Amino acid sequence: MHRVKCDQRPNFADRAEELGFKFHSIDGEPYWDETAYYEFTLREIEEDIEAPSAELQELCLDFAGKAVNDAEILERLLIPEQHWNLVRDSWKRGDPTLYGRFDFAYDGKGPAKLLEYNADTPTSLYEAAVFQWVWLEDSIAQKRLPDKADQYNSIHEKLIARLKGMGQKAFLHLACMAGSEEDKGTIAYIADCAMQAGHGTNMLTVEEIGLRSDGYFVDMNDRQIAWMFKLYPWEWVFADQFGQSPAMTHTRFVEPPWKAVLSNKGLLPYLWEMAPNHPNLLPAFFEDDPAKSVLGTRFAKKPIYSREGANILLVDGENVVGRSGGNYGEEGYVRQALVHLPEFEGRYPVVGIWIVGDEPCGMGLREDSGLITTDRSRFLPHAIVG
Amino acid sequence: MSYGSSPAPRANFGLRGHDGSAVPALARGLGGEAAKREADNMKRTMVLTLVALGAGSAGLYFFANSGGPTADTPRVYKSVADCVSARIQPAGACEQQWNAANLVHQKGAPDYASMEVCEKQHGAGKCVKPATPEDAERASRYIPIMSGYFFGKAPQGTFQGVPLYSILSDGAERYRVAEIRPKEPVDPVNSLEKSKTAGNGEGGQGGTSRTLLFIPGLAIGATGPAAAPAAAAAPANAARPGAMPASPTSPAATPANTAPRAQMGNPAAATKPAATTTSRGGLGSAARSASAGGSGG
Repeated sequence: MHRVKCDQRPNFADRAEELGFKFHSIDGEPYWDETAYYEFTLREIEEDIEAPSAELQELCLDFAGKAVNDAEILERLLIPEQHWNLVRDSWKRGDPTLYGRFDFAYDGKGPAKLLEYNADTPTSLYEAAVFQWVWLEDSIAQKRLPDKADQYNSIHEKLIARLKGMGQKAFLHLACMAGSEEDKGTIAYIADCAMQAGHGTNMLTVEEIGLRSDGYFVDMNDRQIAWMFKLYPWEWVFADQFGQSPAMTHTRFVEPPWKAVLSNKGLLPYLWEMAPNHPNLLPAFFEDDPAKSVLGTRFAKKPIYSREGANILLVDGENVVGRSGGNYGEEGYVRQALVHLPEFEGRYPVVGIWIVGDEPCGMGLREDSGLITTDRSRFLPHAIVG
Repeated sequence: MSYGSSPAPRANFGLRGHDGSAVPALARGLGGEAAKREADNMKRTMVLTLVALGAGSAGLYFFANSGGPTADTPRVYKSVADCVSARIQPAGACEQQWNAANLVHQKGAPDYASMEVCEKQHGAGKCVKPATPEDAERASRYIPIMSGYFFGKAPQGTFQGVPLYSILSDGAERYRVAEIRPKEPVDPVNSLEKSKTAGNGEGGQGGTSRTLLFIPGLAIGATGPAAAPAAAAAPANAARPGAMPASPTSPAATPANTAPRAQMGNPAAATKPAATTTSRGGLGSAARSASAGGSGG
């Protein structure tokens, strides 16, 4: 694994325009950054990243099957009791998952270490699946990369295949919060894949979702929402007024409600309990568990519901090596052994591995000048060479 | 380079049937796909398509310029001989595919008023008079020779022989794909039929709806304005004959889901009481108290 400096493609702006990539800069700062790329070997991808991801996904599904039937775990994960049936039923029916993203610390030398699992509302999907792919093809065509260069990235075809398997010519509503260009881009991309899988689609904001007096969710045209992709976390749905309505049982959701037990930092202590000393896991404990003392003074403290790197505290001995603000944490914390992200030329990359269905199938890297990766971190492409 | 090395042992990627239900067919499909990919040692998407996101309304198609050793792997073949020597499929199949592409080529190749204009576009010695012109107008024009074809299967559909033309781009020889040029005034249904008979298969090309095809490493080519606006507006839904295999993984096929999912794809059928009222804004409030940013992670 190396960080390789390179020039931006001469046709970058045209490509972004052509491919509908509207959030390559956020608040005037570049978000997509192709002035460097990360180079991997096929061995690193297959042995160090892909195989462990498949194994961890299996482990997560084992945990989910256990958790949905275990009141103590559901309580520990802060899932409100009135929603336990929704979560459990969605698992028992086998409501299919579309996607998720594992985030790893990986330096090309030791084993990749799981930092967290974005199992419910992961973003950076389009840039990983599409824009990164076209970057590779352009770079090969422009002789910046060898003909044999490859990329760990079959996300796009796996998404279409998966969506094909989730219904026949069905109608999918897709909702995200108003105001985020990035979220809008993410659901627009999933809508595109859903269309290619043969489904009809309609996009709206979660605020626009209507609750009709006959007990169904409806869109702005009063059309019933039978199947919905929601880029909106389950814990927020559970807290919202409409989340309490009977309409919740009439709509099928992507991601399904059972993902609530995985998209939760409380997953981390349970994984460690199920597979202690797993080479790809970091020791982790709930903050109120005395066993956390084995971590000593080198740990990361993360809110159970933190997103986009909010409210993280990194402690290394007497030093606080990282701290981020935000509005999370009232719900409780977990404590995870500290792993320093590897440094490449003053940058700290996190390796995101995409799971589509249950199969790991692609990678995207985000790097930051600090140890905490946030929604301001930059996305860099990667190539497999050698 | 370690492309020839044997892949690492993998975990079972299949979907598990929750609570002991049968493993769905999709899992087997993915397993087969994963196995094929292992053989290919190719880790990326073969054909990248966008039908709504990109600029313009008619969609983008991108082909990875990499071959794999299976017959179905999307791949560019420059000639029958190239196909035969690739040893991926029998010579007979190579010839058949070339002929299918040639059929599309004869009808759909771009044409030019003079040899000079044609050669400027496609290179010296790359243009001819059409061998089987449909009419006098076409007979008076010049078309590029077919420089290869594209063949293979992808989740989006099967590409059963898409003709390629060499094109001069910044002085370098590259390839572009054929444009399907309906002669008649455009009628979406008719042009759909036309694209089927023209050998474009089960919908990978979406009939005449494409405006741009890009063969990385080989080609860039804008294929002119969308010829069938109606098909372009809904390429995935309308212009995809036979592209949707039934799948038992569908939640709709699960008995427990039958009731709610029966509404899917046919929302108009939802029985609606005579007088209903709708309230909005009951989702999204938790977000406002938790975070100012997006909901993603």
